[in-house]
Amino acid sequence: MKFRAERHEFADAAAWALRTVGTRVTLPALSGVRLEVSGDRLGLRSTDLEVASELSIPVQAERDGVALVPGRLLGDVVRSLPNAALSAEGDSERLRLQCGRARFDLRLMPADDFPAAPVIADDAAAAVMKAEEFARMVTQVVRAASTDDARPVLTGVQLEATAGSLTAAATDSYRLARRIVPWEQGAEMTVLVPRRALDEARRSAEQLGSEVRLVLEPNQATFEFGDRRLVTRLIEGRFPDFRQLVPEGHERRLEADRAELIEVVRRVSVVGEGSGSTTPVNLHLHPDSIDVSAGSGEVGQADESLPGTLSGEELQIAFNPRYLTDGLEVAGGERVVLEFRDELKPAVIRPGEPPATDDRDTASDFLYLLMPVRI
Amino acid sequence: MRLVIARCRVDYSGRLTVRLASAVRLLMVKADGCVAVHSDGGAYKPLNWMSAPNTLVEAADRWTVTNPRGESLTVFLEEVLLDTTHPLGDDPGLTKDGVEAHLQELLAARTTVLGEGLRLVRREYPTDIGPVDLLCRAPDGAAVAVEVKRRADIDGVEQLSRYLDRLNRDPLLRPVRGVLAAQAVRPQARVLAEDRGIYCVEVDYDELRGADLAELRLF
Repeated sequence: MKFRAERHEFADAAAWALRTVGTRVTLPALSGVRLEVSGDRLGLRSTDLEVASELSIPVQAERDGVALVPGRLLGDVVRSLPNAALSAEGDSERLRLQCGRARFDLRLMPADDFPAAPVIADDAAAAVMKAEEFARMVTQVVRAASTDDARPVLTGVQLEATAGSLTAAATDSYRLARRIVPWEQGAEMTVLVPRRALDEARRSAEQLGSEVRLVLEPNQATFEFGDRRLVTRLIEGRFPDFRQLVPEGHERRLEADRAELIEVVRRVSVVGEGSGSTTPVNLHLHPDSIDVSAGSGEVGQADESLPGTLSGEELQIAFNPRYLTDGLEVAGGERVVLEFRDELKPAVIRPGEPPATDDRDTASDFLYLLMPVRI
Repeated sequence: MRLVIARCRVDYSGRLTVRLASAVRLLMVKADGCVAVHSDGGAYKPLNWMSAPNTLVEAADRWTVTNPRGESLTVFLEEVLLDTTHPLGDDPGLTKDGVEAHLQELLAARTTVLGEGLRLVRREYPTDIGPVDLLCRAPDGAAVAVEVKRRADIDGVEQLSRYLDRLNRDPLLRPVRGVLAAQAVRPQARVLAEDRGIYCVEVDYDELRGADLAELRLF
């Protein structure tokens, strides 16, 4: 292969492809980035067998060809390149890069060992979302996914496409986050995407902006950003039927300033930190105020109150402070609504009613279900 | 960590005067400034040493280490065979066996398992020979020292006896009672403990852990 490229374009493309290079791999080829010059484009690919990334950039190509470059080395090289035009020439064993007066002669890995690129079916369920909207959806649900590999289905986010809407849901059995967004495509498909893959897709959406094309297939999910794409394998297994977990009504409804409630819970729960196990944070709900307290005999106590409007009877309920602040943070909006039945049943966190002009977040399209802690 | 292997003589003057004749020895200079002179034998104790804070002045043929108490250690270097430095990074320190540490944490949260009405004063209550796992107060106001083990044997009883001896010297605490808590107590340990007025409690780790899972689940 032989090509000339803009240094910043090449460095940016390599950095993006390096995100999915395998770190603990049994197949050495997975630690490499595959470069392929074809026509007037340079394609870059990497995969850790769970998530694969692919992209291409325009280059001045002189000779087609393929090279598998050790990923870490490529990363170190591109980060250190001087600001000058880049030219590359390689055979099956070595790749010579020249940038300004700097010259690198890199040993390659056997390109034949690298897995084939995932193929995307033409008739797969696909739809386009605004990158910002996609990133927001992922941010809202992904934290509720479990980090414990003991139950793999809980480490994923379920994406359920139906006519007109896409529902993203994640749960670690203590809390559940669900977000519904419009989906302008008829085909129905449900997939369970690993949280890491979805988080990578969110980072790319935030970095690249514009639009994301989601392609959902029975064995993989693809996130396309212009000429870049991430393809992830899916988690097998049955995701819990979360709809039956969402309470149909509530006995108490609390409305409060979201930022203020987060701040108070954070401040008070400081006394429970560092004790090994999590100390719950207690909420005592009065008609027009909330008393927040936490602590243990061993460390000490803290309490603070803030205004809040309660409809229904007074209630004392306790939560894991991190799970509570996670839910409050991702709910968005200035005000937040919490609905309760009693101190042992799950609470529901929703964004407060949006102003009439803001049609992006209706109160019903996001909810966060949170199990209390027994006190 | 700097390691130097050298043929050297060492003079120490301070509380007494000590002289080491010429021989090949290992000199260690630790990151905190401690200097130790080792021979090729013995598990841990150097032949001579100077703890930090101190000042090390290096000349071509000698090191002079002095401290604020006026002690000095002089190493006369005759032949340096190796001089190497390796950063060791932060040391995580000793950690207790996971189950034992967790048992202590669980019992701290539920001291009533150890005796009716027991209230925690603090974990790792310091004494001058090391911390006792839990210090509690009984309903009658008496102090209770608790030692937590996975398996309680004679050594555990001896250890708790030593703590009780120290704690009973504190007029604000005494008289201090002892409780030995373990998943299993060996018969000999129980006989010795009861003979010394120490109460033994066998605790169920799994049950304690179950009680710790106060968080309810959605499914």
